[in-house]
Amino acid sequence: MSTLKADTIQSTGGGAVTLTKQSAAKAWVNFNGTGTVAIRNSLNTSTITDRTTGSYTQNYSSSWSAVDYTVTASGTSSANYSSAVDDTDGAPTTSATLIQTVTAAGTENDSPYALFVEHGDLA
Amino acid sequence: MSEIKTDKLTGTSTAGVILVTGEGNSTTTNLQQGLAKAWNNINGTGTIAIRDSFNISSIADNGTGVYTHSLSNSMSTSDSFTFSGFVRCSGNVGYLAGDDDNTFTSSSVKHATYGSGATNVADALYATIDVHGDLA
Repeated sequence: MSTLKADTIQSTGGGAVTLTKQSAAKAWVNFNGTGTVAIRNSLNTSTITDRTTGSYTQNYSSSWSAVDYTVTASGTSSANYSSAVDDTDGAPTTSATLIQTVTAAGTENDSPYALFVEHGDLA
Repeated sequence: MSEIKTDKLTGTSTAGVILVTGEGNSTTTNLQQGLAKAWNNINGTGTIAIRDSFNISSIADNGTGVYTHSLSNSMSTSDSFTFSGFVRCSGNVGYLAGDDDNTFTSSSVKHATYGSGATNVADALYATIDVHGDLA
């Protein structure tokens, strides 16, 4: 088996390289949304801002090229929590996404595990 | 277009870190951290079955609407990875939620599935998950 060692890969033109059969996530975060918000682990997430109960802002270290990136999420079962983009408070921007954790009844509430993953094009 | 054919990519400074340039050419992203480390598509009704998967060794049925996906290669820690997914229960789009009753482990993902707007768990005809984070 051959091994190619490199620290950075670019296309010959200096741009993004095509990786066959895969498209990597550009950001993800696992945080505790109760009490003082704490990030357990993340990629391309500079901070999580606690806006109000169950409402947070995920701020990105490197911005997106446009606002049409995708967001998937999950929550925890202790109170039937799910997670979503909080588009009632504001649309996603290239540098941040307003997110929320809600109960099955649709009420915003702080969740001990908030999990978000984003795919799309970086700036 | 130039093309490199190889079976394995390794960072020279740090084996597990390779940066790739973003689509807009102004930023870089960590290739390894961006890759999904596991995914699974299951039929969670009746005798549960895996349709297709990556880095999944088995799936366990823990009762109505509760499943455990065991990983072939474990994550680095028990609770610092993410997973998300899609659920369809009884013809309706539902949602899934991780089981946080002290069951987050580095070697498995346990979650419940719910019908749309429901507070009670339900078996899912389709439950898909993808896992992101750091491998052990």
